[in-house]
Amino acid sequence: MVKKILIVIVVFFFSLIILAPKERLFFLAEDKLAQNEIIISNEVVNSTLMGLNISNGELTLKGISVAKIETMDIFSILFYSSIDIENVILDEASRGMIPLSEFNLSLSHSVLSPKSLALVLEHGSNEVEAKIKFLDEGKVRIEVDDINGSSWLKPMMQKDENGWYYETAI
Amino acid sequence: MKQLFKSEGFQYAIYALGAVAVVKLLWFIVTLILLPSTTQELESQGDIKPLYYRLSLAKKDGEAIKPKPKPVTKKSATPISALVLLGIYKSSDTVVVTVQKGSKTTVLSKGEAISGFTLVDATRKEAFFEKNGKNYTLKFKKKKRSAAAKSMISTVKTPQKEEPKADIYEDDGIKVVKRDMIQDYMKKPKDIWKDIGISEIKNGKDITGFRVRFVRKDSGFEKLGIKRGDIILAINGERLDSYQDAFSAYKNIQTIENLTLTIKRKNQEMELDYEIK
Repeated sequence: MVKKILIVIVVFFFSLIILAPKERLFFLAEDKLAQNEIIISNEVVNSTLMGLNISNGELTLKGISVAKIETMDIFSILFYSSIDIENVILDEASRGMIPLSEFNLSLSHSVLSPKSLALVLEHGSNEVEAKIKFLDEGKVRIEVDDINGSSWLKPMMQKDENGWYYETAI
Repeated sequence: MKQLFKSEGFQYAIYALGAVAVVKLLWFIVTLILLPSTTQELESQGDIKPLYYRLSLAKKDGEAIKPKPKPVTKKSATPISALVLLGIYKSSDTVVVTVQKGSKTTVLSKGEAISGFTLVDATRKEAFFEKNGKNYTLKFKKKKRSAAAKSMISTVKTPQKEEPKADIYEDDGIKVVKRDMIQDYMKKPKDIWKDIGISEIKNGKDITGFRVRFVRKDSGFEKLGIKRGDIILAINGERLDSYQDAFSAYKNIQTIENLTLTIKRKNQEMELDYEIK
């Protein structure tokens, strides 16, 4: 009996991921982003076994073109999810704020730390590792481990005994 | 009789298939009820108008082009007083005069006509015309010099103006903004937000303008005449009803030669005009 239940649970779990209407779920995520005036346009969406592959998207914020995204891979097995974004090309006007022309971004989430996201930003030969923590009262705190390779971040960030951080309310 | 399938294995397969069927059904219901079927796309920018215009000569899309009726004008006889003598050139075999009618200047040789007046001859001080068998004399106006002549003289006599050092200066009553100042802001966009703070004004979901929250003292924006509390409604005639509009104005500002800010100050709409050099 236990074996039967176990089989049902395992099959149910994997079916849940594999049979998920991933494109439709992505459209739902887009809907939520659009409420905050963040829109991904002109993208090509392809479902994979465990996730989605999105290519050639154009990211706009409040109608302003911010960046072009070459590929974005979304992977999820519910207790672990990741988003790998490759070749993000910032719009020329946005480079005044972030002086990077092209970079890769990786975000991951694990149920072991449900209130945080791990972030890795690669630009040129530099790599910035950061943690995005969702604090109480709707606050978000981004903690950067080593900022030295990316000094352009310093004017945006603050420093305390634990290192560099950026905090904002959402 | 030999069993083809182990009944236990068959049962597991049935349970697994059942689980798959339940999941499929679940997702089907969720998709049907909760999930959107279309992607989000940025709204078409097809209705964007050119950044700056004062006169639109182009027909709007869909507007039927109707042939304009030709205006019927009554030709009235032009008196000789409508002509202004601007110059005379006379040699032994050539007579050329320059006359002005309204804003139009015409050069006439002997025998040529303007408004029916045919040039017959000229001396150093006057030109002689003939019309319908009558003779007319056109003399230089003694006191009133033409504006063109005045400006010609002043151009010759006035020494060249030095390039003003200020970012914004007045030239013949027009505020002139140095392009360098704009380029500096474009190079360091962070300085914009140090010098000015703006926030959108919404009417429901629609943006109706951008309110100036602060202007830093001695900044370029203060020199432009922008004040705290002003509401920026339009740039070069284009209403700012989205961030996209504001951003396209920002992107195009390097290439424009005239800048008109339509602002609302103390409930009064006004325009601030600048020339960019």
